[in-house]
Amino acid sequence: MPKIFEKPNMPELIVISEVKLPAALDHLREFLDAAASCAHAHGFTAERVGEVELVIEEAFVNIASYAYEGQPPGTAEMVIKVDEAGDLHVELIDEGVPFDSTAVAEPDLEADIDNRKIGGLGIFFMKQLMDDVSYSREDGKNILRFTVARTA
Amino acid sequence: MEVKIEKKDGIDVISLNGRLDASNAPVFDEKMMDVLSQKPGKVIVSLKELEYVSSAGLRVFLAAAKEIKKIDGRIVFAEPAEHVFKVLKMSGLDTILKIYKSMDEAVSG
Repeated sequence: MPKIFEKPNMPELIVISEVKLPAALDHLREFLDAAASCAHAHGFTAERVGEVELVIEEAFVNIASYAYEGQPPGTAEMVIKVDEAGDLHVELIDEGVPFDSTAVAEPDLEADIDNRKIGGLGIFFMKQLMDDVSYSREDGKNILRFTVARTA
Repeated sequence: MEVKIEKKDGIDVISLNGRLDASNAPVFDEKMMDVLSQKPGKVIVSLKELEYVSSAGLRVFLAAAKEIKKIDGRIVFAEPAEHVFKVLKMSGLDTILKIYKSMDEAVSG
């Protein structure tokens, strides 16, 4: 009987974009443009491309604003891979202070105008719009991962 | 992003055209605060040509609503595209900001 290769548990992922730049807001557009062109090239709708940009912006702004507080400025890195189904797997990486942004408390969306705040919306958007949102600390790096399915 | 500010029938109309993100939200915030410093009775923010907004832009919307409340003025938002409205709704801001589907409703509302 011929040997049948077992399908691996992890789908095969191909890297389609890597961006590593100083974690400063002037570089926001480079990250968003790279992510948008990946999503666009893989057939995502314009609305979905906008959602990809939204969650990447929120994560990048967090890195640029907080990751290197009290230490020399560092970098932000984005790696985008595609799987066989055409879903995108995004990693956002910094070498700043350990911080699990997925553990941030959910924003209070019911508060009246005087008590309403915007903080915490970024990770909330990510959890609403993306799948498999996870954080890990590996080799001195914060790694935020999520999967972009074709539709939210 | 382009920010156009004009006065129409005594109402300050701020029209946003393009993308409102973390890189340009501070500039928009400054322009918004300039308008509010004149203590307007009513401000309409036209979102018709706004292509993209992130939480940095929503923060300016919320700050403006808080600020104008202090001077007993009103700020309303008009004609967001469907995907922009989706972000407003997801952020929960649709429950505290006045958002109208048409400019006519925003003027009379």
